Amino acid sequence: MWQKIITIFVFCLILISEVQADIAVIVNPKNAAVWDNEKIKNQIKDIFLNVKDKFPDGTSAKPVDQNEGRQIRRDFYSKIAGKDDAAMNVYWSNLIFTGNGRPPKAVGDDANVKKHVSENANSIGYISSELVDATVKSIYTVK
Amino acid sequence: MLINCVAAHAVDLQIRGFADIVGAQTNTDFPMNDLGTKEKHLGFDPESRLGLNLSADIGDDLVFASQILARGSDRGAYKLLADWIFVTYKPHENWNLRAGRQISPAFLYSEQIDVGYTYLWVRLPYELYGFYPIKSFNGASGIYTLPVGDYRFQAQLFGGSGESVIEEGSYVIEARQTEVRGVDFRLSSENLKFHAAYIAGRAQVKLPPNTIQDFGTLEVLSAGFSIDYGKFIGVAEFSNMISEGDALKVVKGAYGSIGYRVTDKLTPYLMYSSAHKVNGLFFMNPSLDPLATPTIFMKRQDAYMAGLNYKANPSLVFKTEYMRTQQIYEDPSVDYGADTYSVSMDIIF
Repeated sequence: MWQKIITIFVFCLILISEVQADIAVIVNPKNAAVWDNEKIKNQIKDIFLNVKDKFPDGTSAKPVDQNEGRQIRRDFYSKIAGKDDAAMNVYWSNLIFTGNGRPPKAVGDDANVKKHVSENANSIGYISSELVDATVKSIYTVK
Repeated sequence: MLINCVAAHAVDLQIRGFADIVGAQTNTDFPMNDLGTKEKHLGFDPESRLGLNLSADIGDDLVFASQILARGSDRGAYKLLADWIFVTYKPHENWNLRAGRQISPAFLYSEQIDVGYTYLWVRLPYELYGFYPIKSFNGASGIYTLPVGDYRFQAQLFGGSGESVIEEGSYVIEARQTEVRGVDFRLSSENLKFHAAYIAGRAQVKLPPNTIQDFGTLEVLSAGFSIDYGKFIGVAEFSNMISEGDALKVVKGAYGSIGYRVTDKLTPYLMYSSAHKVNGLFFMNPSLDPLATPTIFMKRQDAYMAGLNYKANPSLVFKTEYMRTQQIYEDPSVDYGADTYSVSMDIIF
């Protein structure tokens, strides 16, 4: 009985730790942009919110999103921009339906984003930090 | 929901949409504002609309964008029209050059007038947005954008001409705008938006059966702001329209609105809106024959609103609103007031 309870408890802890996993912001390994440590969070936010469309070195930045409804997407925008789903919808509606901007292209889940960024030199995306490998370069960790 | 289509030649197409289902019941005996004809029963046709937004990224610096609108009318049928359709070229990070059919950015919410989801109320105040005849233009604009700390500054210079058809109940009003030119400034942050614009153009409106109202050169000066801070929302705008023509001389319009978020989802609000002429002619009571009684003109229109905005989920908003509209004429015997009860369901997808 106690063994089952402990097993369930440990399983729940693992689940919680997965839900709260850090998020890595990734770019293509060929991306040579140099980021300012003090400004990097705002620089990333500006790229994902369509305020800026260039990396700090002046090259074109093409952000890609995870699909709508994914928890990692909620966590990313909550932590990087301080906006929940409703606030993000209001933000993008004001740009999309006036023709003044459009959101990053949603390409799927962690694996899709990692693959897309590894294959496109101008891409920037975000994935669970434990999935980062040599095919992409992590530039910032969202905690 | 977002639909992404990436064609073989790397055109990235995004499709979005919105739907505003608006119902109104009013006790008017004649068409008033955009509420249709004699909607003494609850009617959904005059103001409901569906929009489809297409955006195609054609390479690094070129974007095609279009919004197709299906709008109801009090005659029942929905009509399709290109709300706006333009190509944007970005020669520099801070500059956008745009060509095509564009919305005239006269007021804070002009560019999103059809997307009810983006504002607090069921409809934008007619006393500013309804009396302004230059809704859109075909032409070009240059937009300069500069992030300044937590703020984003935008200046837009534009020019062109255009024609539009406005249905006012049983009337079909054809508006023609030429030599449209203007400048629009915006300063926005997370919680604050400021807007100021100056627009000039030659405007002519054809009223049925064959009355031409020539506004001559029409100049509009407007300014406004919105603040969204914690539980409080405040919006105010004013406009000053001056015309050299025979139809109108000076009309001043203004509104103010406050909202208070009781919860994350529920926001009650109040609004007061007013337009009045300083001199010259103004709108006439449409219940009167415009040809038989040309000397009876309206001096002032006031509207009082109270409503509730309920955000059911991140993509769906329900609103309900009571509005009292009062029209005051040079001949007090034709003064008129009307009560309007409205509900709306605004969706984005």
